[in-house]
Amino acid sequence: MRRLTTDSSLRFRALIVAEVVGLAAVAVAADRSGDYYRYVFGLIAVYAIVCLGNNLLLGHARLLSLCQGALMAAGAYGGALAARAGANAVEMLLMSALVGAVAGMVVGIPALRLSGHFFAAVTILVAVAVPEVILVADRVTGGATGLSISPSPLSDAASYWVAYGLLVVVLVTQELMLRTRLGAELHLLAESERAAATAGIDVARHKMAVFIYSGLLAGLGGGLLAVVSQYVVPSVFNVFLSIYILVAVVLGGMNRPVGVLFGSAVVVFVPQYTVDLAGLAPFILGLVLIASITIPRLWRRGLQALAVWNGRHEVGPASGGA
Amino acid sequence: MINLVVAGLVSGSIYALMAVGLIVVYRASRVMNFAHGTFVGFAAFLALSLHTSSHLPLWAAGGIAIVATVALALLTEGVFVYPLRHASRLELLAVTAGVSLVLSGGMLQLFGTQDRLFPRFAPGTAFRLANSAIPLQNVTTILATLAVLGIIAALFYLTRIGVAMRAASENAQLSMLVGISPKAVSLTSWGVAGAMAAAAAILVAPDVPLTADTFSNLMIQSFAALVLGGFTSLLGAVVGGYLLGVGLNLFSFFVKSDIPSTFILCVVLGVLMIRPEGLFGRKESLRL
Repeated sequence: MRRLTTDSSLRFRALIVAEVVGLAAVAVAADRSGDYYRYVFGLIAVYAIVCLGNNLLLGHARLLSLCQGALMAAGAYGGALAARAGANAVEMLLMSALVGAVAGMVVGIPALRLSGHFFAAVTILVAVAVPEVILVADRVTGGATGLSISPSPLSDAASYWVAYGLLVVVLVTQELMLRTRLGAELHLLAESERAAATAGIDVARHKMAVFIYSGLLAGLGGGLLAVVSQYVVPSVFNVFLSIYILVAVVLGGMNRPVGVLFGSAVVVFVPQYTVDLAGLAPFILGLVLIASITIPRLWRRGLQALAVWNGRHEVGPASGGA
Repeated sequence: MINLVVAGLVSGSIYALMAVGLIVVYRASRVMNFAHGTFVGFAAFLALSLHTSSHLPLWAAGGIAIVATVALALLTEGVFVYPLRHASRLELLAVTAGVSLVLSGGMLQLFGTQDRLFPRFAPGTAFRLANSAIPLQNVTTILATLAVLGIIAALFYLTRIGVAMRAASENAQLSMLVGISPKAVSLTSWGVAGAMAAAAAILVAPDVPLTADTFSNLMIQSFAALVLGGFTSLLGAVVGGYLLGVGLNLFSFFVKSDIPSTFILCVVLGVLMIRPEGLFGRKESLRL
C-alpha cells in the first residue's frame, strides 16, 4: 500500500494528533469522575469501536447492515467461552475479534450477493435469528441466563483503559487507511460502484473485506462488552442494538471516522438518562435521527435561497446523489 | 393439520397486507418504509383504546383508527419524505427509521410491555372441516384480506390513479411530461399504505399478543415476504406472504417452535441463492 501524499497532509497530521489528545483527555476526565462515568464512557468507547466498522460499511461500501448487534453477540459469546476455558485477556479479545470476523464472513458470503434493500432485509433477519439461536443452544450459551465470566480476565479499570487504547488504535488506523491507495479505492466505491468497477476495482472483494472488517470490530466490541459487564446474556443483543449502532453512524455523518465518537456518545447517553421511562430512549433517538438528516438539508436550502437572493446561484449541491 | 394451515393463512394475510403496503410506498418514494410496522401498531392501539376506554363500538373505533392512520401516513410523507425526495435512499431510509423509533417509543411509553387482548369481531365457529372447527374470526380475516388486496389490485390496474401511480414508479420524469404530478402520486400512495396498515391492524390484532414489539417483529417478517416475492411485485408479495405464513406454522408445529426467525432467514437465503431478484422480481439494480 503506497501512501498518497496530498498538500493537506499537515492538516491531516494535526487532526490525528487532535483526535488522540482529545480522546485521551476525555478518557482521563471520565476516569476521574467516578465509577459511574467510567462505566458510561467505557460503553461509549465500545460502541465507537463497533461503529467505526459500520462507518466504513455504510459510508464507503454503501451497505446498510442491520446485523452489527448480532456480530457483537458472536464476539461476546466467543470471548466469554474462551475466558471460561481459561484464556487470558489478550487471548479472549483476540478470540472475540476472530469469531466476529468469521461470523461476518459467514453472513457476508450469501448476503453480499444481494443488492441494496435485499441486503438490508437479510441482515435484519440475521439480527433477529441470532438471539433465537443463542437461546436454543443453551448447552453452550447458557440460554436466557447467559454466561458469567468471573473472575474476569481484566479488572474494571483495566478494561476501561484497554477499551480506550483499542479505540485510539482503530480510529487512527482507519484514518490512515483512508489515506492510502486502498482508501482512495474505497472513496471511489462510495461515489459510484460502476465507476469503481470501471477503474478496475474488484467491487465484490472490497465489499467483502469491509464487511469482514466490520465483523471483526463488532466482535471485538462484543468481547469488550463481555469483559466490562462480566456477563453475557442474549437479551442485550436485540434488534435495537443493531439499530442504535446504525443511528450512531448516521449521526456521525458517515464521511469521517471521527464522527462516530459523537454518535456513540449520543446513543449511549440517551438510554442512560431515560432508564425509568422505557419508551423515551427510542423516542428521543428517533427525533435526533430525523433532525440529523433534515436540519442540515434545510440549512443548506436556506443558504441557497440566501445566495439566490444575493444574486448568486449556487452554494454547493443541495441535493445528494440518487 | 387443517387448523395449522388456517393459522398459517391468517399469518400469511398479515404478511401479505403489510408487504403490499410496503411495496405501494416503495414504488412511489423509492424507500423501504421502516415505519410501516409502527403505523400498524398505531392503528391497533388506537382502535383498542377507543374501544375499551371510550366504549366506542368496534366498527367506529376501527373507522377512526383507519382515518387517523391515513393522516399519520400523509403527515410522514408531507413533512419528511417528500421534502427529501432528492436525498439518497440511505437518508430516506434513515428518516423512516427515525419515524419508526419515535412511534414505537411513544407506544412503549403509553402502553407498556404488557400483552393486551384485542376483541374478536367475529366469535364462534365458521364451519367444521375434517373434524377441526375453523373459527369464524380466521375465515373472516382471510376473506377480508383477500378483499382488501383485490381492491388494491383494482385500484392499481383498473383506475386512472393506478395507471398514474404505476407510470410514476416506472419513470418519474416521463410521467411528469404527460401531466402526472409526482407530489399527488406520492401522497396517494402513502395514504393507501396508511389505510392498508390500519386494515392489517384491525384484521390481525385479535390473533396476536398486542405489545409495542409485536409489530416490529411482524414487519421484519413481512420484509422477508417482500424479499421472497421480489420487492416490486404486488403478486409476489402476496404469494411470498402466504408461503411464509403457512410454511412457518407447519415448521413450528412439526419441527421446532422456538426458532421462527431462523427458519425465515434460511428460507429467504435459500430462495435468494437460486433467484437473487426474488420469486417474482425483475432484475433491477437497487443501490442505497
